[in-house]
Amino acid sequence: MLTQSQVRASADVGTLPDTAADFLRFVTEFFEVISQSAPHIYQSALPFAPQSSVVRKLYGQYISLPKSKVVTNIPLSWGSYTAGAGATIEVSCAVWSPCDQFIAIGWVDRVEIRNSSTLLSRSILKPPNSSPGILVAPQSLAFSSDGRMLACTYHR
Amino acid sequence: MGGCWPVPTTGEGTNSGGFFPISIPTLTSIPRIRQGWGRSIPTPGTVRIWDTQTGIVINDIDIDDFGEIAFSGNQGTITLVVRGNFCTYDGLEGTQLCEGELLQSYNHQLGAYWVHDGSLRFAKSFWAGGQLIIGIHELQPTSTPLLPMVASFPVPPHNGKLSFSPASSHTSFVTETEVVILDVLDSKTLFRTKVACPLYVPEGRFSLDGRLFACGTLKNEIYVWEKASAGYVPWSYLRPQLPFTEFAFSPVATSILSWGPDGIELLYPDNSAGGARTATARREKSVVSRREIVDPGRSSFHFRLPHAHSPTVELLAPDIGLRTRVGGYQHGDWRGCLQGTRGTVLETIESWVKDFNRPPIFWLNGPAGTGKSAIAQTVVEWCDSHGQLVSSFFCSHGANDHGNLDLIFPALAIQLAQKHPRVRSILVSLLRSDPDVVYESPSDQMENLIANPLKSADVPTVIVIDALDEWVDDTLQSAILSAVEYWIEEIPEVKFFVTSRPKPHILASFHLPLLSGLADIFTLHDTAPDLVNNDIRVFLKHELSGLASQNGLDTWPALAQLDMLCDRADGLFVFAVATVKFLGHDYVPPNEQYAVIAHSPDDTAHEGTVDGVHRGLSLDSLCTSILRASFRNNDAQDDAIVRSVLATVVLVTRPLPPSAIADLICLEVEEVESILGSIQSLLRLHEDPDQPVRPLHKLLSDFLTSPNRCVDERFYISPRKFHSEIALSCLKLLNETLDDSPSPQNQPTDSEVALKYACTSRYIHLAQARDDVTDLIPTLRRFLEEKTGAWLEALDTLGALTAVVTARDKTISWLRGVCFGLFYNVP
Repeated sequence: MLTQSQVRASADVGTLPDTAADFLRFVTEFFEVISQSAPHIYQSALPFAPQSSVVRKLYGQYISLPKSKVVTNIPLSWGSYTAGAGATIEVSCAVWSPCDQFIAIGWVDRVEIRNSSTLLSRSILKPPNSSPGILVAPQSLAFSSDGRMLACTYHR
Repeated sequence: MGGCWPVPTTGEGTNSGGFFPISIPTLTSIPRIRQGWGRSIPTPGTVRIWDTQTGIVINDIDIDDFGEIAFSGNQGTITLVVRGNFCTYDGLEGTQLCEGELLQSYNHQLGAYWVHDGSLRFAKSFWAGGQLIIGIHELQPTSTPLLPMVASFPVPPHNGKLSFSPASSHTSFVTETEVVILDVLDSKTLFRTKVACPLYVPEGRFSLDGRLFACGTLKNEIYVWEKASAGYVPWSYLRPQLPFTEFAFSPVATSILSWGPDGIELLYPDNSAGGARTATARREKSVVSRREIVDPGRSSFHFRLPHAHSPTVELLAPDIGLRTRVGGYQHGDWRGCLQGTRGTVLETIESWVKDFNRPPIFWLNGPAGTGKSAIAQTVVEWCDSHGQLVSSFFCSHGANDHGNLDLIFPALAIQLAQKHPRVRSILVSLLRSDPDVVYESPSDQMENLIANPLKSADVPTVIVIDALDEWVDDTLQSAILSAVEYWIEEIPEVKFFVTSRPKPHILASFHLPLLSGLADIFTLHDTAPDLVNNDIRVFLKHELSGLASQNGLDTWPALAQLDMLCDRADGLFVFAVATVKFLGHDYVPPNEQYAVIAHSPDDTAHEGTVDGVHRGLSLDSLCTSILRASFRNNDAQDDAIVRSVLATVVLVTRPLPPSAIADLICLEVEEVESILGSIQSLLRLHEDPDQPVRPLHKLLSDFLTSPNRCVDERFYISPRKFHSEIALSCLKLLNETLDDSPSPQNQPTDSEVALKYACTSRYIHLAQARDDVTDLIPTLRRFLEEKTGAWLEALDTLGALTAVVTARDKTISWLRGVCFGLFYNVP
């Protein structure tokens, strides 16, 4: 049995995870501008945060706009796009890890594991040896269900 | 990240009929099939299997024809599906287990398949009498197919692609003009809609829980429908920025990954406030943000969270260089081996350094406290004095704070640049063109900062990495090893000397075929005990006679006393070092101090079991004696303060100076200094209160945080409790110091060490907080709702904005843990 205070703590948590998630979304969306300098949080990021966002509700009062007074076309909610990794080489296959935290990507010349929320690279995996000048492209990828193993097929 | 990755739980199958006995949560593969690929003859190939934690190759299996692959379960059994046939292999042994056919006729078409614990479930279809006959089949690869579920539908005779839900009998059929979802169990059409130019490859995708179904189109759109009581209803509409050829739901269906010729993209399907409308409205803005993120001139790694202050070459000295000195061997009062000791091992290493026909990696392993760091120190000094180019990173020298972890290769590179002009000019031009390279992944860092410069410079080099296992993050340890393994063959002139405890994941890496061929392994605890004990005796005799002459003691120590100390050390150099520090007290003569430890309680057990022999018993009792002698007053209130101070020294993620410890836990600096001063023989304590304090050895942290070893409750530090306490201290400090509104006060100065620590590390303690979590919630709420804007300002000032991503991830999962009562010991 949980004690009363433990039950109360569970209830107290309430919407806090959503608040934290909204902040995460805020930072990933406006990272470029916020990382230029701190005041951009209030001048360039908050004014464009969607109307439904928790961050806007909590901190909207601190929005500071030096010149303009009106901002139009503020989206209603967060959009769908967050991160992309472009390349001049093709991605031939990709797979999610069972834990949701990683993505294995089969680029034409390498297999790479990346973090699934930031797309930052975790490790690059070595392809089988091939004749010089010939790329062995990964064809299909699979994680074992505990995520400890990753298999990839190559053609010779 | 621990030893294994958690498998997400997904919804149960919605049908209770006899067809879905499989427990859905363990399904492993995302359904995908690219049947045929226009090949008419078999093309031989290879299946390569890696260990994901180390990146090391477990096995290569030759196959006659390559196709789609899936694991069944965790035992390494792999199923390969090629053009209507399947083949099962033991991935670890490389042997073929069985093979068979999935399609009986050439006009049968194979749909998606799922693999689960040795069962293969797949869909197939064919046309008969103007009707589409769809079957879902399941087979154990070793036996005959089970009874198939077959249903027929009057679908117009178009070519189409099949896919089916892992959680129900729902099956999708996507043709050039429309999307149809059928229920194979009831032979019923659930949903049918016209979609302009649906993508042929891939076919539609169901999420693992069967709740969502998505289909891509040739116009680079993805439509998402949600299962409802009456069929499927539109749920979200996505427009990826990059052209895609395939996509996949994440296992918990919160995001979609799409990929194609120009890269990968993460999408968040969301139907709040009308997903479709929002996505359309945001189109213009997204195009702008894509241009910022995607740089087509580079081959990979285009999206990354850029660092606020990218260092150029000119900035290297204050930023990287400083840390290099911290990590390098000349920092602090660290000493190598006493001359005349450790003969065998040093000779072995010396001959390895000289002989370039030997394997390029030398791994020195041994239990904690056996003197690995001193040996590494000696190796670096020896190389330096013999004119050998050497670069070193000592993780145990306090370089293991979170911020430094990723900087190991930059730190090594800067040392090399300082010592070798050719390496320097290569690095300088590299950093001018790409200053962000120091924030790349370990493998990229290894390639750009170590492998390429050293390849061009072509100069024999030794790189020393000490105490690899003492890093916070197992994954990073493995990533470093994997990066070294990946590049080592490209740089034959370079040798790596690595020391660590024989931790299972490192041991496993070195015993895998690929790395074991590249490494000389020296196991310290295999050295004859007599040799080690003799070395310890030489060391003790040398140090104690120094103390005796300082104190004018002619007859001390007696031979029996020296014998007793050697006996107790039992092969652990750290015992000898701690003893010498304790005996060398400023005010009490060593012979009186000796009396304190001569009567140590010998009543503890210790983790360091080597070949069944318990070591370190005496180290634990030495620590206990020193603690008891230092804090004689058995006062509950005083003891609580002592524990708080000790906990902060032992549990912080990077060492803090006494002044910051005092600020963090709201004590006077003098009080903290006095507590730390009284146990200085167990610490590395500077005279300057602004210099960080660290435990003498990792063994001390292990001892204090282990309830079995630290038997005196007065000093036991429960990580469950004290991580909560430190997290609370950090949050309180942030709540009190940071302003609600934008303010210069939110930009920590160099002197506010505790505030800086709280900004960057509070979430690490929060994630491990288990006891007293009820007190944390209101403080955390205030922080999230009132101080987060200010916190972002502070992080921005510190150039640590990337920490937000990890911090939020950890905070969210911790809050969920509290919500579900996961952290309580419920009887």
